[in-house]
Amino acid sequence: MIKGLWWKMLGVILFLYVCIAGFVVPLKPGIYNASPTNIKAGQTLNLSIEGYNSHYKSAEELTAFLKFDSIQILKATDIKVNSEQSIEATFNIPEYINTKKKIAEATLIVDNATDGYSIMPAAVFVNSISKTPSQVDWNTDFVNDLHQVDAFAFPFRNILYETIRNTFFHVAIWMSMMILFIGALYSSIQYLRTRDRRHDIHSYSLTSTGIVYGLFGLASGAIWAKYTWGTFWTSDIKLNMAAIAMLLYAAYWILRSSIEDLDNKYKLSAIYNIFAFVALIPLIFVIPRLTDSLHPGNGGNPALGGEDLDNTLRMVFYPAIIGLTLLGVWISDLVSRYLKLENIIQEKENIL
Amino acid sequence: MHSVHLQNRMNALLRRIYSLIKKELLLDFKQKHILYAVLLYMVCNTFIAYKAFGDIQAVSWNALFVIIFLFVGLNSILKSFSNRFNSKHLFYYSYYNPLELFIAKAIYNWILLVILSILLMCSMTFFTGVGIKDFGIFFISVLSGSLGVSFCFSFIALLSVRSDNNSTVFSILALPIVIPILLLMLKLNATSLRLISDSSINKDIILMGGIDLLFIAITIIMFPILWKA
Repeated sequence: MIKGLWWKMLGVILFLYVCIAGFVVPLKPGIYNASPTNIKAGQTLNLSIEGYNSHYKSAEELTAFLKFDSIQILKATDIKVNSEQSIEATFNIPEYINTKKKIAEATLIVDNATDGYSIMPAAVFVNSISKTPSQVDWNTDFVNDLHQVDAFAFPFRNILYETIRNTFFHVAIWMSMMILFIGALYSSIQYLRTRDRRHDIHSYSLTSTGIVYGLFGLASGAIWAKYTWGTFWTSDIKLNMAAIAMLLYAAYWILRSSIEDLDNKYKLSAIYNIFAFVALIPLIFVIPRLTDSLHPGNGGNPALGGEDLDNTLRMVFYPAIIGLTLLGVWISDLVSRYLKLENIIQEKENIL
Repeated sequence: MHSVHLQNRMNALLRRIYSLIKKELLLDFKQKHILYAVLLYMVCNTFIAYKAFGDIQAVSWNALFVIIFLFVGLNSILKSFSNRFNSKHLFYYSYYNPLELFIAKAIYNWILLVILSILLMCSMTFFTGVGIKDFGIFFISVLSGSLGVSFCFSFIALLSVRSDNNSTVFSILALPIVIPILLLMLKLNATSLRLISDSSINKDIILMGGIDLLFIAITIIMFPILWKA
């Protein structure tokens, strides 16, 4: 389909780079766990904090904050360091917190010179807040004190943790599957326009590779779900729509194998391929956006949007899409060459 | 000047399609056994489901309705394409414009499906006692769902008639394609049964209409290519 060797080499090199960088680059330091999560207002909170990839013992200028909103920020009065990954911070929770709700929610921020700052949203909930306003000396301009450390590391996200590396495989393989299906759609249209057998072979091999990619996408997603959600499969809308998409394309395989007459077979499978791609659009791009979903990217769950896909992830994620697509094109190229050879052999046998 | 001309042509087209739909209806009434077979199939399915479940609540009512609707649709539409395809079809398709005939068939199937699903609703309510509470949403769901299903099934039925062993290929190809429509129908029906109360139901109706339009557009675009085979 594409002339030359360079793109195959590029695909392999990119994929190797993705495998190595995707697994070797560490996560940024973060807060893994903080307990207790509930406290009454006016009490002293001894918060034991577990860090991830952190250097609490060796780091200097270790501080911890509880942030209720942009002006109500509480600094830890005392910090006891147990190990590199574990500290105990003491906060004097005030009687009065200015909030509209009954329970005030605080974000935990731990900062030091080596790791920079790390954030845990909704770490502490304060209840039984006094209704009478009173003066509290909040620590308002703490932002200037935080350390910004630029390291080559993937972002630390609660819930996801190390499974964020699945972005390079699961998400990238779905994207390349879509690219392969678009290629197959193009070849199908070309076949219907020109009736050239080669376009049919290209369309068939691209679709087959796309289906295999889709199955890998489902499998990588299922393994990821086992470690984050606890089951391989849930009734989540995105998962089920993806499964239906696979069924649609599986029907393409069955249609092809069920027709004996060759001209009819190429033509009907090209028509069905276009039909299936059109039916795929609402399945993958429209319906999942209308319903609540646990899948990253929906309902505030971390995914590709905005801050979640930071520059370090991008440096691996985009090469992953390109590399997997090139590998997919190579695989389908091999399949179509095999089919062409098979064709030639069949024709020779027919002549003999 | 131009728009008047276009309007005349549109009117003529609509009249032709209307007369073709009438012709379909007359043909079906000449062969009443096909309609009766579909009706019997539907009532039997309802009765089997009722006896198998014993006590049917609204949730299972909804599921059974959509499943029986799906199979009634599969049967009636495949019949409408395979029965007359052998003997008379060459005459019809050379006498009329094939695309117009196809659209007329799809619209006829749509009307048939809507009537069948209303009858299905009546028979299921008769057996189980579970009734629709919001008829407006139910009719919207049945009308829009049947529209997409009938165009999609008609196209796939034609495609499978063109391939060699038609009924197997038909159900394999048709079922996955209509799943999004059926899921939306389930949701709309659940709202009409007051199983769920959804304030954003309009969004689902618009989405259903969008999917219908998408299917109608792709079938009309692809039909001439399929036809030339």
